[in-house]
Amino acid sequence: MLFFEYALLGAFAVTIVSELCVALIFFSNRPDVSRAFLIAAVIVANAFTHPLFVAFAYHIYEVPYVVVEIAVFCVEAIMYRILLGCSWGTVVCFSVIANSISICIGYMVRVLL
Amino acid sequence: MYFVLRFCYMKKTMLGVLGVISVLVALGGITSVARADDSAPNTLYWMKDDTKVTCVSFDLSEVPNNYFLVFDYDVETGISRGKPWTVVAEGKCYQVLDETAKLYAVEAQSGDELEQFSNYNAYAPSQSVRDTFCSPVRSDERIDFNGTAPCYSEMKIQEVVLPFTEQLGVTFVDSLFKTHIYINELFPTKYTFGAGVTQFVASFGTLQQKLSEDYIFIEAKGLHESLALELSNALHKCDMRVRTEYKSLPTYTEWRGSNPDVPNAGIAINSNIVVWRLSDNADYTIGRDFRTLDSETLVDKMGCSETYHAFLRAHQSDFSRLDELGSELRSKYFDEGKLIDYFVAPRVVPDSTLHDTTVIQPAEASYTESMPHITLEEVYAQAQATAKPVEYRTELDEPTPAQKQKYITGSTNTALQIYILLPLFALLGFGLLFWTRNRR
Repeated sequence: MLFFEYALLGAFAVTIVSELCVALIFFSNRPDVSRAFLIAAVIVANAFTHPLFVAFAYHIYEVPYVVVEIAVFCVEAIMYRILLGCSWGTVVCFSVIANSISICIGYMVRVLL
Repeated sequence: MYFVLRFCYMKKTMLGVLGVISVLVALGGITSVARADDSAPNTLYWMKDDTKVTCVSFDLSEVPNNYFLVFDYDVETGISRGKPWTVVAEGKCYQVLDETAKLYAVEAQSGDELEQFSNYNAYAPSQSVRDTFCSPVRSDERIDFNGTAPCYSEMKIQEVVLPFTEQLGVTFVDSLFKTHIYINELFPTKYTFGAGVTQFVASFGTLQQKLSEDYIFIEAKGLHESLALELSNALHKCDMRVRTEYKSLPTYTEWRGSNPDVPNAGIAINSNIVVWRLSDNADYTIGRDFRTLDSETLVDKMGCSETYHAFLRAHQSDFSRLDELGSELRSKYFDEGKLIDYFVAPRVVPDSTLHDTTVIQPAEASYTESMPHITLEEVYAQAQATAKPVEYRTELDEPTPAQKQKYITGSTNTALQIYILLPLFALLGFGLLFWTRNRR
């Protein structure tokens, strides 16, 4: 596996794992959201946004990073709202926290490696 | 952000990004301050400017097909790029943060050497080629003909001296972060100061000892250094350079070692071109093998002509004082003969032929015209003739968006091919989940 492939897929894995952990903690007191459904929703949301984020931010259109990040928050929040049926406040809060933590963990992994 | 960071930070969130950037900026600021503090006043060097990029590129046309070059990043660059070294490609300029960056030539013998060096993820970004592939060098080990330690390895790896690295004990010709501008050429004095002021020397015996304790020399040295530092700071503010590139031509050469029947061969760099890229994106050739333009022309190209002449006008009395001190020193140590020339010498300027040199007698020199044998028009004409824009432009080794897209879409890796199609699968999954939810 070439370097960039390793880096790209590794980053995707880190994002999925970190956001899943955050989701399981964040929605632990919500009996109306089943764990299996929550895990599936997080994977689907990230599988949709991650490749597009990479493409838009860096590889095809070179849209400014912050703009793409905001778009990712919005898209993921909408997806969670539709799938989980929670309030807008809850899904936006979750989206911000989960994404913030995933990028911090990604940075730490990068530094440690 | 660099390529690696782009991949690895990936997602997301402005808060996280801003936090990380703030930390990096803070660390960068602290590092810069520390570096500035480390730079003692020196008339030969200009202080390193972290806002300018110094990089080295390679014309690979003279490198045989069975060799490839590996650029071993300095540790800081390696960590920022997420890989310890990179296989050299044509048209790329490799950034250098300090002089620990190295170049290696590797001979492809078994056929898998290139693969080993290209498999960057197998190595930590802070590793070096020497630590990874070469056996530790013994203290009694011989040094190669080019001043580098040999690399004992299963592969045939040879360190190649980069154009800007310096060898100890040799008079400084140029250095990595220099502008290629010499203080002695910019000061309109009748005398030039050498050893102990603008040159580093190990020892010049008893005369050096005498001068180091001579109040005249101490005053001259102090005044010279303070003027140099002031000019250096002034030039930093008007410097329009954004990049200095060392274009190098590695060539295959053969030489004979101690046993004349056993010829050795390897890669050596035998020609360099220095190119400045200015902030208007124009490239100027500063010289082949370091320099063809005089310091005043370089100051002009840098965008600092006005600053420089204002500096000259403001310090005329200081230059007069330097000349008085130089004259006193030469009279005082007249008996030392030629030896005093190493410390204080009558100014030598290029003759109008630009090949010979002429010694200007102190009585003839003038502050108002620092280069009496060449008119300003001639200097500009010379600059026009030599400072032509470079035709072959190189880019820093950051992959372009097109290259990145090609890396991803052209990958033969199954996992990456699935990754590319993930948004489509995700949409299907989203529909399925939505349908499941509505059924409950």
